[in-house]
Amino acid sequence: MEVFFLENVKFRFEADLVLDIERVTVSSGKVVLLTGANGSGKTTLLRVMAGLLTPEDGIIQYMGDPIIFGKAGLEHRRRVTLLAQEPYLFRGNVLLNVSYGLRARGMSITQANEKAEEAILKTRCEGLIHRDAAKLSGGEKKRVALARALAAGAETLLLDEPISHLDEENSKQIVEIIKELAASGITLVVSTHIPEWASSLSVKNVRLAYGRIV
Amino acid sequence: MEYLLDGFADGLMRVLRADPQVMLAAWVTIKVGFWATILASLIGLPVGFLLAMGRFRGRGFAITLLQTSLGLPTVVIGLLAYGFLSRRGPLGFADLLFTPSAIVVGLVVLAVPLVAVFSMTSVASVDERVRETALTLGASNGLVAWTVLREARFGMMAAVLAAFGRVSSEVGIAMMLGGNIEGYTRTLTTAIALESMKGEFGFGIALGVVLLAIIFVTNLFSRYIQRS
Amino acid sequence: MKSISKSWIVRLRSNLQNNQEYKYIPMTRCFLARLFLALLLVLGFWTHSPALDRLKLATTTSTENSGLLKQLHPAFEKKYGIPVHTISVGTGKALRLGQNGDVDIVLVHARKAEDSFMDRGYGAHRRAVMYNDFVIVGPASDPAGVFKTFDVSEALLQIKNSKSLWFSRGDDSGTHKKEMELWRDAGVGVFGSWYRALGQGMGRTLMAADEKSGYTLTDRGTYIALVANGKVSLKIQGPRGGRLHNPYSVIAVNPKRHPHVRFDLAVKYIDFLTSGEGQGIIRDFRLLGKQLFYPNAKNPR
Repeated sequence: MEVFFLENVKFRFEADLVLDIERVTVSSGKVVLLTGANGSGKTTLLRVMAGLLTPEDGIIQYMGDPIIFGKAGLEHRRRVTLLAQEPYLFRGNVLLNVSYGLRARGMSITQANEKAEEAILKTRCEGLIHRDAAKLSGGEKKRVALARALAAGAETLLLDEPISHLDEENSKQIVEIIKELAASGITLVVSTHIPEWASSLSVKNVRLAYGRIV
Repeated sequence: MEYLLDGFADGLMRVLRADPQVMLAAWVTIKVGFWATILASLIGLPVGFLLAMGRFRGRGFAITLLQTSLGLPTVVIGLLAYGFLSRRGPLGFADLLFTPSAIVVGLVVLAVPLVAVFSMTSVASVDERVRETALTLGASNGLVAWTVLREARFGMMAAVLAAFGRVSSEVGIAMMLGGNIEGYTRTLTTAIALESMKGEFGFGIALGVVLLAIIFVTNLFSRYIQRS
Repeated sequence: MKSISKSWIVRLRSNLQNNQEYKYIPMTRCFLARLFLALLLVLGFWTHSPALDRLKLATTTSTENSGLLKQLHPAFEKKYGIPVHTISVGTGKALRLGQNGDVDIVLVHARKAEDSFMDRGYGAHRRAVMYNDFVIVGPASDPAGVFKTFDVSEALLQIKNSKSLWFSRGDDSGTHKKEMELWRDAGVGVFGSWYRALGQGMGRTLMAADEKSGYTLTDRGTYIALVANGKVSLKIQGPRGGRLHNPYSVIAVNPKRHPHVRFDLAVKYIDFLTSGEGQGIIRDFRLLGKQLFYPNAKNPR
């Protein structure tokens, strides 16, 4: 089953054609690695797949249906969650952040907090649960953001440079978490410009350069 | 110099003795300022939020209009409001002139643009990633707006407190619409105006000290909130 | 959406449930902010007062600042149980407030303006209450030599000719109206740089004249009050009485013009001021042992 199917997807930023994808497919329960230098269009592609950027042209389907962009795209955004390269944490504590996606889906606070705690355990954030999100270190922020994306309960996670700018210790932890996620059968699309760390979990490597697949 | 020092000494003594006239004027100031701030916030915060988030025709013009009205002298507002509230004006039937409510009306007119502009700035300065983060986590359009609002809440709180500081130090509106009636509409500022007219330097200083204290506490609170 | 606004309760709860030792500062701050808001709200509702039953009096700064009204009004309020709210402005402004129906009664001192107010039908009931007098005050050195003059016009001309500084209220008050009348009577219509129109109240004008060693026209009451408080050291120069007579009238705003005014209360107030009791209070009012106002109501009861 193909989760994502993209064909001739184009995205323009002002006059520049920053994305020109001939064809990309993502299979269910697999990990796809997006590689390429900085500025090659990885982030733009992920944001298009997340339903946050509306492409100019092309066919883009999720689970066989065309993705709806813009204000009416709530359903797609609830099925696919993006972890940004530099994630933003809302004001408040860690638990409040992690439970956000669950509360957005109408879950009661008690229930949302319970589910959020599961994600917090999975991402080794249990020590941070009541900390002020604004006072976390870079690595902690990334882990909390990962927990938050995970807790939202999406079928597919898009991770944009999950270990960039992190020290060795934090990178190792995140890599471990991603491996566990991959093993649990969730579909992952992971972008990185240093692909070595992820080679063991990747089944498919899509390489981008100047917005095109090479 | 002696005149000045005597004035200060007299003023501080009055504050320490909790001079009833000073305390009464302080009470009226706080009361009137409180209601004016609440009402101005109820109008100004949504306006500021809409101007920051919305994309509609005339938005730029509305912002320019608001920013211009920030520079409106309070006596002009007082005069206009008098025209409306006077028995001969369109709102004369409400019999508000020379009551604390009349001062509140004038101060609301003064404070709404202030709250709106400040809150607009605070909403506009919320991190751009907030919207996208909320969207990708599955927030509905309403929740996205609410989330942005929550992120801007300290800035909005600061806008409200700034409005309180502004309205409690205002004199023209309070004088024209309140009438400076002792124990009823005499605020700290109108009392200062009266005492300085009578040459009562010490009493004026005492009133000024209390007014400064009120504004100081307000600013302290504002800083405390913004620090987080 | 509602769930988010409630979330702090849950945070509080989960904090209580959690045994871990940590300091959770943001919660405390949040809690304090909410406590503050709650206090403000309580304060707000507590302070909300409905409109009062009251008598609105517009009067001149001279009567208010002298302290006379503080003697008169408690007696009236005790008798009728209705508070008198005094709005003290210049005579011109006071009459305009009456004309617009924004007050119930006016207590002023400008005969010609009062006549016009009555003629145009804005006043319903007018009574003489009291008088004091205007005086020309100046520095003790008396550079214009007006102390020995017997006539107001002569005094003013000497001030003009010696180019001594003259401070005018310039604010459409009763005193200002009187001053302009006196200059007109003296045949002076052109003023030089020695003439300073301030646009200020009597107190400020007196203090300015004192600072700059100039002359000015003042009501005796305000002058005595300021001298008593040591604010000015000007001396009374020039002639007394005659055209410097300064009578005060009380006028009820015409209910035919403004049906909403408290004419009933206004009449009670007028009756009180012109009664033996009111006139007695005016007569006995002293500022540093000096009588400021002379009651002159006709047929006091």
